Amino acid sequence: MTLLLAWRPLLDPIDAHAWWFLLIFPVAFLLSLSWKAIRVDDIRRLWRSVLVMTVQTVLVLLGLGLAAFLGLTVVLPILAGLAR
Amino acid sequence: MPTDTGNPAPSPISPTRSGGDRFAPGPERFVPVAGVAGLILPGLGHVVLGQPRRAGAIAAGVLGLFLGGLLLGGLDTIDSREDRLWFYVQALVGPLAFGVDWINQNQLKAWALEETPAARPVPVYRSAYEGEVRVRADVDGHRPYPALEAMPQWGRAGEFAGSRGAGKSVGKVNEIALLMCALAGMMNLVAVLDAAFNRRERESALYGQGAGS
Repeated sequence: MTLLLAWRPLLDPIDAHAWWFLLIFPVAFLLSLSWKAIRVDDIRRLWRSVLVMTVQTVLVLLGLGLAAFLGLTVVLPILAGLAR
Repeated sequence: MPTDTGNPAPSPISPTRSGGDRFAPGPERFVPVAGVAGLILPGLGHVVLGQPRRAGAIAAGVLGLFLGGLLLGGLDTIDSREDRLWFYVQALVGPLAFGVDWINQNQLKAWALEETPAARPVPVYRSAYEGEVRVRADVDGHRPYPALEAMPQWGRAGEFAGSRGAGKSVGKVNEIALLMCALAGMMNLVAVLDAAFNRRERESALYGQGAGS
């Protein structure tokens, strides 16, 4: 509670060190919004396009994270064992 | 241009992508005023082009990224001295980025004496760390510049009239805040190029009058 009261918007950073990975959702959404606002032909289809691109972005990043995790925890130990 | 078979050859850049779709982009036209307007404020270039809905969406996206980054990492996220390379990209948001940088350089940062292992402490102009207070020159008259001091303890707070310095973001929070503001700059560059070399009709022509409402 003390930390919350002491936080001053725009002056102090938000203490997001425990949940920084959740920021992928607003970042993906805002990036999709600005990109699709430029690219979409019919502006009435904007929100559907934004939603699709947001989901695609999040899923691709999750996939990349999963691939990196598997590479580091499974593939690399196997390769290291083969090299001995 | 007829071909050997007598059929017209396809244009290298088709004016319509889906055969008669009235929303498909038309021929490109260069509108430098729209490009400059987009640099002044994100989305303003598309307002000049008569595309207020698109402008609103661009402004929401770019300013959302920029202000989100500032909210996450603080105004210190925009720093033309300590994060110069990042600032080159963030500056593409326009005067807003330069204004935030001016506030950071002139209202938040201050001089601090940094200990060095071999020589005397060196004065460094930097952002305040947590637990530091910014003392203005008019408060602490014997020094000609704003300085950073350790946060006063209980009972001594009255001696310090300067504002508490802005906290400097670190780690992942700093990285994502920098990234958000830089993404805003890059997306605004795309929007500026789209406004300056535009291929779309006015929204009033596509959707009828009152399209912007």
